[in-house]
Amino acid sequence: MRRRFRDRYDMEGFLFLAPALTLLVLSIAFPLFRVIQRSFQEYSAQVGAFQYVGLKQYQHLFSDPLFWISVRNTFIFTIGSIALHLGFAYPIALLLNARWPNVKIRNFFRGAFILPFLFSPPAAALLWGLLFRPLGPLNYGLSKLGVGQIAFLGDSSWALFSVMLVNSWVYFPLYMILILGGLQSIPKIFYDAARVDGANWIQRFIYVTLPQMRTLVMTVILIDFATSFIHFDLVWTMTKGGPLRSTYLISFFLYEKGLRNFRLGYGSAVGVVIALIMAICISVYVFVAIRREEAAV
Amino acid sequence: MRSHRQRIKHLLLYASTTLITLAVLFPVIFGFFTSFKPNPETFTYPPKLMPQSWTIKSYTSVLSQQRYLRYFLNGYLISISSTLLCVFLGALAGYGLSRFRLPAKRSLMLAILALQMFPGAILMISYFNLSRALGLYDTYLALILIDTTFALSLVIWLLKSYFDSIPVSLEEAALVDGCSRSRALLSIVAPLARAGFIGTGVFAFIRAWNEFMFALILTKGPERAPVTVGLAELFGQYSIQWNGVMALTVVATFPLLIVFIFVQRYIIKGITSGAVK
Repeated sequence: MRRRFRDRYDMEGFLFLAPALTLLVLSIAFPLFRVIQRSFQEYSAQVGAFQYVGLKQYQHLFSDPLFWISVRNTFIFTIGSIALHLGFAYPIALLLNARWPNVKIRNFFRGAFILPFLFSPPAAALLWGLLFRPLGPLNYGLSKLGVGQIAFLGDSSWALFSVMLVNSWVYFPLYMILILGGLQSIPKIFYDAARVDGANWIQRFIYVTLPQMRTLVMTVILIDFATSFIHFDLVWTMTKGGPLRSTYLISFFLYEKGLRNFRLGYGSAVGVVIALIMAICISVYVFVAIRREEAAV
Repeated sequence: MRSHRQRIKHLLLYASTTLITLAVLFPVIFGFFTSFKPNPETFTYPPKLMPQSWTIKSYTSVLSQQRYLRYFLNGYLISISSTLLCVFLGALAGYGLSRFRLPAKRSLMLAILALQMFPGAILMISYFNLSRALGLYDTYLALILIDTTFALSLVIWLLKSYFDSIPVSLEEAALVDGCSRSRALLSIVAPLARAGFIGTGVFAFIRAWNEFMFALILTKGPERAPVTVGLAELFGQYSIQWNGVMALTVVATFPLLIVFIFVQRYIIKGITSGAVK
């Protein structure tokens, strides 16, 4: 038995994996374990140590109205960001995937579209902060169109949309590259066949491109959900959750309760609940996606 | 007739793409020109795109401040170290996954990929406490390790698929000739995988250079904090000097631009060949 195991596997390979796995375990698995542990505890000043309190932190969390505000904002932000990312990335990827007479020019444009991604979230926040100013170019443009001034970040009915816009601007290039890669891997022969059958470009898009791209777009949505749901950097730089908590995301709730108010047990419970919400959403999504995929086949 | 239609089509393609590019890049263009304006000009209304009188004073004044130079130094130290560490660990792991028959390899690879979707932010409290307990709070090492951790899973995947594309026969020949595994990796596979290293390295560098949240939590001031923290504290300041701020933004993004221009090919190839599978 032992012989066979040895014959089948080269355990030497784990030597190559060991350093990376060690780092991942130490820096993810162990801290995760600590967060889960802490979420059932509370610091007691009398004892001077953390004590087990069962589900108290969780009960407290679910009756905290600010938590529900942050959950609501986070869902709006996540869904809006996914829609805007795809809305920017897909058409631009299609444009770059068209037949360009000169590949060098196409590559130049592709590079230009990736540029926003190079700006760090705070840098992008500053670029847009300049545009969003009351007397900045965007408001000037709006006044030319006869629309009144908009306080993009100062008005609670606009702020969430404004930060979503900036978030889409920074990250759409990533999704554009992924979608472009997908478009380029669709076999040319499918299009030729469609052409022979007399399909025009709209029909080719609907009957060849869209179905061929479905799995990839589903994956993009999944990745985007996992990143946007826990988003912190850009929105924190721009609004810190204001005005009137209109851009207050769940990661801000985590940060403020856990590290600003130093309620470590409470903050840990927030972290666990975030992970659970995400796990549930992703499972449902994957389950539904697989179901539909099977139905389509 | 046909070529005429073709020409119009191409013209439309160029024109529409140019327009969209200009619209998308408008924030960058406006910010770039603002960095060359003298301060009073940043407040004129209606706002003008181009400076009336060009000046590089904002650059010289930003770059002569000790505080900002320190941010840049920190940023470079953290990003370069974590890039090297990440590519090193990722190459070893990717090679191990590509070349060895391992038990539960599929599950292991899926777990590594799933890590890419792991919400790292929920660990912030743990990281804060642990860094305090281990004496790593406000040190480069804490940020280097965290930046490496969160770029590593994708780097492993990308390099694994890169190694997969290099024929095994070359190493087998070397192994038969009595070459050791590590020797084969170093002198046969590594040179062939150079493009993969560059692509994933740039990815890791961009991530580390642009990382903000953990830098905010785990540092306490300009001594150890990278550029992103320096930029973020400028936002929403009452007496903001927009030309100086834009100069700083330009300078902070410039290294990435240079790196990117030189290795664009590798990144796009790396991302599209590895991630879309």
